[in-house]
Amino acid sequence: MAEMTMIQALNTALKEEMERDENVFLMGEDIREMGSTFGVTTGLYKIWPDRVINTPLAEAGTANMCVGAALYGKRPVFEIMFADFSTLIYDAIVNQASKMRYMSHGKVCCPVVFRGPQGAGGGIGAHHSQTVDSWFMNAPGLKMVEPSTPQDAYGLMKASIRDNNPVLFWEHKALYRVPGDVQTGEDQIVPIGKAKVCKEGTDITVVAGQLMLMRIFKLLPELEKAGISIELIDPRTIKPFDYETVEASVRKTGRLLMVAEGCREGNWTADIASNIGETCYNALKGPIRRLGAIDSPIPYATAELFMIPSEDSIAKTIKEMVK
Amino acid sequence: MKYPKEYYMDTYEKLTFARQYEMKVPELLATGKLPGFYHLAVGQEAIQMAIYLEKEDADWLSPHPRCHPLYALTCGINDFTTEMIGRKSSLCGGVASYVHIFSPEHHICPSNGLMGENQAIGAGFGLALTEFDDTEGCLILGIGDGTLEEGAVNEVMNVIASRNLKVCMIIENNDITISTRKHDVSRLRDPGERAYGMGLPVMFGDGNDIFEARELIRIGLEKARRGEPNVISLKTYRLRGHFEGDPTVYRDPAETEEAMKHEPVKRCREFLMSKGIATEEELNAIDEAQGKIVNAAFEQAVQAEIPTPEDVIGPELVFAD
Repeated sequence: MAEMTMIQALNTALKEEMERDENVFLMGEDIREMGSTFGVTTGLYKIWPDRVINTPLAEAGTANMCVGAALYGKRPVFEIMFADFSTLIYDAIVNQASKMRYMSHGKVCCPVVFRGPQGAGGGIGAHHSQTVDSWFMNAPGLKMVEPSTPQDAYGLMKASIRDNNPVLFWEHKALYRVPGDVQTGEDQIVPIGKAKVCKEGTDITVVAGQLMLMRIFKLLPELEKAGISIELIDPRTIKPFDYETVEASVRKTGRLLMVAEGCREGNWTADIASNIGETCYNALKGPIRRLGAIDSPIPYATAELFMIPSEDSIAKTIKEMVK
Repeated sequence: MKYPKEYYMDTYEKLTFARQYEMKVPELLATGKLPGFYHLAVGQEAIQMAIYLEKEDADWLSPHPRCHPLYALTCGINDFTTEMIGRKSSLCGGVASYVHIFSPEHHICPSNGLMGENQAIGAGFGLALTEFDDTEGCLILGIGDGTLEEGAVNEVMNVIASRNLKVCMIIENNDITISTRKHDVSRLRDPGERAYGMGLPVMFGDGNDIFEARELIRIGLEKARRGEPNVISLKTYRLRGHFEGDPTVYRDPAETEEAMKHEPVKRCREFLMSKGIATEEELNAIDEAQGKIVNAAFEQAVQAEIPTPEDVIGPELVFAD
């Protein structure tokens, strides 16, 4: 057990997977000497000079090159500097990587990881602060994970690299430097598609990850004091979603709140809420509710905090639901 | 004769196969026997057949989708034809056709509905085989002059050049992008000039002369296999519409009529006969033999099974374990 930031945990996972499998290679902008914008790839080029590839500013082309290399039998990990820039590689993800298995009639697989940071927390405006996961919900053939802790970042990165399918791996820039205990090793691999019950409770199920999860952790003492017992679930994987864990919880508590950092309109939480509304209808004591960002671009600097669900709005919603 | 007679006869055989294969599609479409949507390369067959004749087993091929005969010869004529018309084939089960075909066992990179993406993905094969493999082969990157304007293509051309990837990019310049003429959307005199801006060497040639195309492609592939990426720009003409059924209102029929005089099959025949390499009877006999192969391929394809829902729906077809 060692204390690590999420950056260090990701770096450790990448290093271990590159050691384990010579097919793993990294590609992205400024990922060699600079170690990538946030330091996730620091030092790896020194160990494997040929397997850490700096690209020109050419995301669409080089992301597709990773798709090609994956189909050739390699296991590329492509870094997109900010998740907001994933629109530049959208075709590589939703039209190419995700469809290769189907188009080969199940003969091939396309093991490529697209990773990068999303979310607010840096105050760097509308093109560097978005939570982009919902953009990818309507494309079959993809997996999508979002770790909230250094331990899960470590375990999910190892699982993503070993997965034989394209995986979107969204990190959170506000959590990059938050330290946490990390245990390494094969038994610490976090299976894709498995949510984590962070805290058991009886009155309401709250599903939230990354920065929103941290906010709810902060609220717990206040809400417990108000006599509300929260069951808190970190989905960890958005696609394929762990319905089993959340449905079991909703059947117990009868209430479900989903808190996402992305825009509320068209958010992935709507899809999950709709499905759980069907499967758990009889257990529900009230409507499933969702919180998300205001339907607006994100402004620069501290004003970004006006846009995403605040601790106050989350606490208020939980109290309304349990009242 | 620069080459033995078999060289010339083999070349003609592939060329007439390609022409007859392509022309079988409108014939069958007219009878209503053929489902689907087809983009034929009639008039442009010399370039793809030159590629077929010059490529070696270790090479990988990432052609553009307007290449049915090349796919057919590379993947197996009957199997490809079955796949092309959306029937159950051993290639992609009929779900891919020529626009989405991918056959690693035949060293065929994924085809694509998105122009520029098969070149970008193909470049990834070029990266992998150059930097992570010790193969003798190179990547043959086919492209049309229209697709050359896609952003991703220019991005990967730069990467191919800067990393010395083992790639030969062959531009099939038919001077038309669906209906848009090249000079209306590009200041280049020839699309191959794009290579200069990428720091890549380029050769220019007549893509309707299959013997010239073969020689240039041979040189280009040899260079690519040595780790010297290069571009070849070959001029040709698309004799039919963008797709079958396209009334080509954007083009003067007189232009097409003039182009018919220079089309590659006719030129190849004239060359072989005028040089005394082959007689008309010999060439006709090759035509007939290849025609039988084409007919048989389409006959078995239209009789092949149509995929059932069970054949095309299933999580295991979308996700790997």
